[in-house]
Amino acid sequence: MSIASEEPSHLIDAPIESTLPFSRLTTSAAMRVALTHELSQPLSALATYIFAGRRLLSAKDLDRELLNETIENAETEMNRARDVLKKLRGFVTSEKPVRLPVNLLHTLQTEAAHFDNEARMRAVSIHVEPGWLPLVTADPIQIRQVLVNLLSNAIDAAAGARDGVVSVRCLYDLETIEIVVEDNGRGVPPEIAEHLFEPFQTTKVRGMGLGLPLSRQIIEAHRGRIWWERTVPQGTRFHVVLPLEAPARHET
Amino acid sequence: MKHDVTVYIVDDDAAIRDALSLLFETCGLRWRAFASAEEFLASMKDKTPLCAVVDVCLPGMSGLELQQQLATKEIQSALVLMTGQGSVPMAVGAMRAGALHFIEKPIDPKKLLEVLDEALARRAELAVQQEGRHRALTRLERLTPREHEVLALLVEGHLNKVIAGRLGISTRTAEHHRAHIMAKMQTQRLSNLIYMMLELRNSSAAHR
Repeated sequence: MSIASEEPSHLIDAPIESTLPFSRLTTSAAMRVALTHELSQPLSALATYIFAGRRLLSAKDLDRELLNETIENAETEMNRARDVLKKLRGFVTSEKPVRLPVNLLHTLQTEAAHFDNEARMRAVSIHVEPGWLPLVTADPIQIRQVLVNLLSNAIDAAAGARDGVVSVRCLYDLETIEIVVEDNGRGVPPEIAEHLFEPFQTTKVRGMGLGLPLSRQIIEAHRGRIWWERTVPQGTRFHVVLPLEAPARHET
Repeated sequence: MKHDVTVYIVDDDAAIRDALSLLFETCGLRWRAFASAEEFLASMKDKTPLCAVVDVCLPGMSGLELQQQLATKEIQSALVLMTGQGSVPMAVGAMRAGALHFIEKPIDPKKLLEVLDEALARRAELAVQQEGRHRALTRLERLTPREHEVLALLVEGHLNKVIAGRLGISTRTAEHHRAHIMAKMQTQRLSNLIYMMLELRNSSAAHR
């Protein structure tokens, strides 16, 4: 049994329940916990696939198909680990900004359709209000990342509610567009409400708590704003406001 | 490692369930995998001691809670707990509740198999003990009320003469009862009989 730990005492005292109130930890400690966990999962599977693959090789009758499948699975796990690092790197350094005209309503509709299956399985319905939206100048990949994150969070939240609903609306005026993503879930737990946009704050067992901090970084790089509010009787509403023309220069 | 028992896998990560089940298969082990502690508990139909590899960090009921739930349901278990953030207080808590084995994630498969081997040995031990208790209980049921009284005094260490005095019977009758008890409990030695009774008492105390 190797439980000996050289973690600093605040880590040792960290509760291990599924709802980790990370707000009590410092960001770097929280980051280590989150990172360790996120990397542990794929590495565990990867090591096991490789070990099992070797055993398959030394078996009397070599099952090529199974071996091949095992190698493929190992590759998938390796990519999963790599994605964790990529995500982290994306957070730490901002790449050169790209600015293209983007139809965000279209992006929203496409992504909502991608989530449709998952949402249905979790008894959540997604409504994207139809209409028309002016193009914004933005980094299409980054902005999509933000919208995907908001949708995915909203579905997670709504999945805990009876008759879970996620609704998305788009508004615009002469200078800005606004996207509103709303769910009727149980709402943001009070203990993390103040820290929602700080990295590594999460109530989820899986995930690093990087989605919202990353989203804010992206939106702010587009000179936009992101905020949230509680709705009545229950639920959460996120707002993203973007200027129609986002400057491509870094002004900070 | 060849066993005819089932090793249960409880982990919410599909890839880890898949990888472990493949690993166990290459070892000739039977397995069943569950994505949550709740599903696993719901599938438990009897009280045979079991062996399971369980993630500590599960959504819903955690691995540690699962261990307690099993104990409440009087299911004895040899668990291998997979810990993500190995922390000392957690480990101590689990040890107290009776879990024996830990492995840290990321998993080293070779080490896991070693630990699993120990857990399987422990499970086998638990199964033998349980069988012994079952046997003793069935035999106990064959005793008459009077024989039960005599047995209680025997276990307390009293001589035939004293037992006879306490129950208001002749020493000869007490000897007679004692011989019957030994025959029904299928043992020749008083020390074995006492041991059997203590085992039963301990196990029922442990379940309370």
